Amino acid sequence: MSKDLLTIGNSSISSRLFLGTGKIPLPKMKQVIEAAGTQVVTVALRRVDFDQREENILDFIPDGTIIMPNTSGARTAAEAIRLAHIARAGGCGDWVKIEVISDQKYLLPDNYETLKATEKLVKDGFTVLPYMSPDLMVAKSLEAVGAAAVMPLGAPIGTNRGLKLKELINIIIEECYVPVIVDAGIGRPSHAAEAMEMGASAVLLNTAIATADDAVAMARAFRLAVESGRIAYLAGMGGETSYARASSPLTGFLD
Amino acid sequence: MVCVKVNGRQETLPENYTITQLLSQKELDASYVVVQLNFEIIERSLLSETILNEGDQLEILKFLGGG
Repeated sequence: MSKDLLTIGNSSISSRLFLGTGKIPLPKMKQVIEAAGTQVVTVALRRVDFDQREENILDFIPDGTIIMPNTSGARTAAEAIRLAHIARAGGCGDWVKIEVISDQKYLLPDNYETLKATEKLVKDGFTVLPYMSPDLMVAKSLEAVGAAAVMPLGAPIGTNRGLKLKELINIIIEECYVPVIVDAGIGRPSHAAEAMEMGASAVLLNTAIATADDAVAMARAFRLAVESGRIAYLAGMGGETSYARASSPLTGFLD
Repeated sequence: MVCVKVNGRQETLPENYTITQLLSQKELDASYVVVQLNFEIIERSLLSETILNEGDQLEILKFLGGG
């Protein structure tokens, strides 16, 4: 089988598991990333806290990993654009995950502001991956303005509830040309496998690994699930039927 | 002396103090942070020649874990 690579922007990557680094203790970071086999990680940008001596997260991320800063904390397109430029000045390349949220209860993305930020940042030369509520028209608009992928949520961030919005994500996978990456809500390896079986190009998760009792083992479990789901999708799954269909031949019985 | 707002906090600094001097005072490695002065990003190569003036607003940011 030829190598099954995912192309985003100018990069071709073989791992379809993207990892958020929130809540992962720094001393464990490298091990978790390696166990997940991930090639793309997200990071956030915040004010330095002068009262605390903190280590630099970038020292704990293996060389060659694509770093995708997010715009978390942004409530408007303007704030997301500002954060993206600051992140790029930080020297991590031109990938950016657009995250514009003003709803603090469910942390749902603001699709309208997300679209505005995506359009501007594409023009500014970024590789833009917007986190979005799964709405087909918005996904098509994001694609039209040059998003490198679209990242619909499966369920609200950090809830571990799985693909609650499966039908809508399915439609986006079917109708969009850009890669569809299921971001947020994936809580179990079976959820990740399900997303990949549906034809998602990748999944992005954080909480499910970061809050596991053994984050390194969970990273490996997710890696296997993502690979498994992807292989199943490429293999072409058999259809469902209402009635039984014998697996063994129904002729040639003994008398 | 000049009064400058650093990450939202008022600080009093000597005259002709550069951003590089401020970073070393805070024991910060310039290659780990991004600096915004009055909403303009300051390239790393310019940190040592950028002098802080009265009323400036400085933001010093860094990467950390996030999803």
